[in-house]
Amino acid sequence: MPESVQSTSVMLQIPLRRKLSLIWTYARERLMRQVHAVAFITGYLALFQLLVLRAPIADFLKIAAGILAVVAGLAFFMEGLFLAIMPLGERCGLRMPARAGLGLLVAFAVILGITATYAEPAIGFLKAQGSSTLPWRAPLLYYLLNAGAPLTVGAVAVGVGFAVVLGVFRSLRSWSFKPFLYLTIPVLLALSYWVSRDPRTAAIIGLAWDTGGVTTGPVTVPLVIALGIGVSRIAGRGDEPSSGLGVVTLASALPVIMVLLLGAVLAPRFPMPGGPDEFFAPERHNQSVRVAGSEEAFRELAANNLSPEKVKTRFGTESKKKPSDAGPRRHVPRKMMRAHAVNALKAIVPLAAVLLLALLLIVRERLPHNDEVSLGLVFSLVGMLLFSYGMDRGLSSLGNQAGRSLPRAWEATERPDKAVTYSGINENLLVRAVRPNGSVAEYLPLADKGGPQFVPFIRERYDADRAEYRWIPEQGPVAGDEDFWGYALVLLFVFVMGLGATIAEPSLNALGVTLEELTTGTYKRSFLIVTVALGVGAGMAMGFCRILFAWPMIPLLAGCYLVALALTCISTEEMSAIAWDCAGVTTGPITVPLVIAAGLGIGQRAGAAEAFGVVTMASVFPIIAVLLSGFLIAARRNALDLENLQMDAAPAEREAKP
Amino acid sequence: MKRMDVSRIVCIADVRLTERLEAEADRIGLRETWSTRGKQVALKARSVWQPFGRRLPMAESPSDIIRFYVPRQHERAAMIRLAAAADLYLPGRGSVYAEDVALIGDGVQPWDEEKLCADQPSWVVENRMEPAPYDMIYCIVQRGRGGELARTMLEMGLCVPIVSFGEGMGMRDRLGLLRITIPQEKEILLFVVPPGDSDFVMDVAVRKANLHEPGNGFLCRVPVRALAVNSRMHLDRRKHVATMEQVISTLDQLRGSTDWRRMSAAARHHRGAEPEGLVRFTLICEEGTSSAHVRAALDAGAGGATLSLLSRRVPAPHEGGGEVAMASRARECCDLVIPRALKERIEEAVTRTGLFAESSGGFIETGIVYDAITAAGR
Repeated sequence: MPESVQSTSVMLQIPLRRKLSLIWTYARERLMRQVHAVAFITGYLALFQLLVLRAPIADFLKIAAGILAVVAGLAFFMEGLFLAIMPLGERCGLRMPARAGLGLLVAFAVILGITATYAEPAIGFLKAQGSSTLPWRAPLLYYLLNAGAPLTVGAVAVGVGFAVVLGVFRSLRSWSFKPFLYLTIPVLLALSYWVSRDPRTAAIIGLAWDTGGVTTGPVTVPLVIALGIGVSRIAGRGDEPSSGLGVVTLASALPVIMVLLLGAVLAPRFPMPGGPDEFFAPERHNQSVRVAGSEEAFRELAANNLSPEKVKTRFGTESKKKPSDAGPRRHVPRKMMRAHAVNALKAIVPLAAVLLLALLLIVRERLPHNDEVSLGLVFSLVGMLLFSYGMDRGLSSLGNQAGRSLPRAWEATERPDKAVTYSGINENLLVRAVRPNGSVAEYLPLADKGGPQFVPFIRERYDADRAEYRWIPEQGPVAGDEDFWGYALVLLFVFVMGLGATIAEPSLNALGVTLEELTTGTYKRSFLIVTVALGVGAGMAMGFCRILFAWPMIPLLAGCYLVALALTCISTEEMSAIAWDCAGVTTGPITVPLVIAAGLGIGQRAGAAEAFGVVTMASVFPIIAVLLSGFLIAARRNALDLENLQMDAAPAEREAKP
Repeated sequence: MKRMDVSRIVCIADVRLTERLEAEADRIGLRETWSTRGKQVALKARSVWQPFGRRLPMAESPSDIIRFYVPRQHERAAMIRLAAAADLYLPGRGSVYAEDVALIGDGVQPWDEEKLCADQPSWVVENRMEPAPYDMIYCIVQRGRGGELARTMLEMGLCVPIVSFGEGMGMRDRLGLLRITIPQEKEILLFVVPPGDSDFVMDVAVRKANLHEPGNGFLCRVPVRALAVNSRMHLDRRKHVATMEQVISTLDQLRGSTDWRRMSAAARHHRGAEPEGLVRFTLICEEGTSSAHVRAALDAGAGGATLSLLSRRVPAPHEGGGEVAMASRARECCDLVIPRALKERIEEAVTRTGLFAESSGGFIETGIVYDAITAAGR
């Protein structure tokens, strides 16, 4: 195309004041949108903790600063998505098939999928979910999360790459979306069932299903959606808004298959689950070392989990116990900032590079708005950085606090902040009481506002020299003494948390905007977000039910997915594509840390082996919710539109027309 | 450069009817049709969920806006066949109208000469329906403001608005990077109204959308001939054997015009001359290639352009399957309204930027505009 005309346009000069006012209006609008998105979850977490759990918020200022960073980060990031990442993806989709051959197109899709997985590694999240995994109870799971993590990520990457290829071809050839579902979901369920029959691989099912939900990150999802829409615009039934969707669903389903297959392939080389003594037994040395990854890692495991004498008899040497770094690592802010910057660069630069290279080398075309795209990329980098930093210091920290306070819902807790020191206490005041088993407990009568009361006497809090006793009052379970109400409160908490977090998710917002654009606003973004948020809330509550009551995974998964499939059968093509894509989109950078936070709080109490499965449940329920909302829309429409009910019926006999 | 005077037929119908319309277009002998996604809006009865509030809720039905070109003498037959194929006479389904345009460009082959000029089926020939004069009011507002305007039209019982999305180009693109601060998303509203009402409708639109203030939008009026016009403004349970819309359209047919239902005493707009000397200048080219052409047109003196996405459809070859479809169907449509005097200059400018070259595969469509209103005044 001749380019001589590109820059002849006269630029308008406008005064600085006007410029600033333009920028201010623009920035304010974007910021306010994110304030609205984040306000609910922030306010909810803070109020729940303060009013329901009656626990104070620690580090209030730090958290407030973090939340401001989240808002600013989200605003930048979303703008970056709309200015650079989505236009780039759409342009690739629009131009590649015409310029590149079939082979090149496939190669591009595979590379894109793999880059996307490596750019936003979700393995960190999975490790956190499986942090309580013990190597002897689930050797294969332990291996896949630690020494074998590169293998897991590789399997996921191949799955995503393959998904992008399939998705692109679906759009290009305008294949129907439903057969993909009818094929993959039963395969997935059957594979899960098959894997669950081997005790070695049974433990990885939760992991595999959760990888599906988390692999597609906030950059990848909008990108592949834009790509699919670009491809669908050039070919097939491009006027069908749903024909560009579906990649996200495949990118969530295929990695699950890949991880399950990886597990099944590796399983024969791994030991059966058992106790620590078996695990560290000399005759199983080779297998156990394989689980740990290396000899050193194995020794470290032994040192951390066996008594020193056992270590000595087993290895013949004194092994030094290393402090485990399970606890939260303390970073100095600058270091933390740097880590976030590196992550942001990793998430955006490789993906943008793949797209730009494809455009430059294969399509050989200049971008129409170079400056806009560059600015958008900078925006998304800054946004990602601020956002993840703010998540870490603000929202996650608030979520962690609420998560930690959660057991208060069903247990009595001490309130050190309300401690009172009584002076003039001596042991003569002690009252002895007999327990049913004959042991004797000591009580101390203390007077406070409500009159005298006997409190259990704890010797460590008694200072005999000063005759002082430090009394820490206890607070009864928030929900009363019945376990039922405690659980109900926790599930309610999780439900509303899932709802609130989903409203703020950037990729869901991007999908909403795209859908609104494609359907000329007949499908509203707010409607989609609320429907999905309700689904995620219900799904998370269900997921935590599974953990609390130790429900089996497979029947639950199968049940939910079969319901979703059945609803898909009777839904329109368009609604089903939207619904299933929402599933992959929902679990993003806001929901996931909060799931971990709540999981940690609840997992402690329930003593669950792992907290997997929550993300999967949070993915399948939105599908059901969106499909149901589709029926609701259709029913309400049809109730009013009787004449046009048969619009899609065969045309009337034309010869009979006047 | 090939130039031809043709009829542009625009058919707006619920998406569930698209397949039938496309099949009929193939039977008529059209080689190319262009479509874009839009919606038709209506008011609906209050539901159980929204029992309160002064205003009725709006219902939006996704619709496809399909356009194509036929020789002038086949205009009536083509419209009748489409309207019959999708039963567009039924209220709530859609509209079909035609207008005179000139096509400039070599790349465009709108119809199959042999098939189109073959004898029309007898039911078409015997059909007594005649296209009636209507005014199509084309209105562009900022994204998000169209809903209110559409609602006003419905509440006043003027017409069923047809809404689609587009992007504005013009001043914004002369601001450098600062342009990102100005939203480019626009809503395009089409009002197809009886000529007797069009002055009134324009007044309402100008007032409601503040079109007399800068930056709020643009409006113009184009004379069209309509065969079926969707008149279903209220979705409600049916209470009689015929709906009010059916009664009205029967009266229209009996009286031979829509003049009897005029709302205002305004004198009927004189048809014929083009008072402002304005023309509608539309570029259609491959998606992603239009920005250079539009910029050239703006440099040549055009005030602004509205971009919308089209999807080009050619009848499916019957072999099925085969290689990956490599020819893109994504098109961009840039609408400009310019003074007649500038037409030649802009045409030259876009020719220089390669609109007709193979990479753009574009053509130009020009048509009459009665009058246009934007911030500068009438």
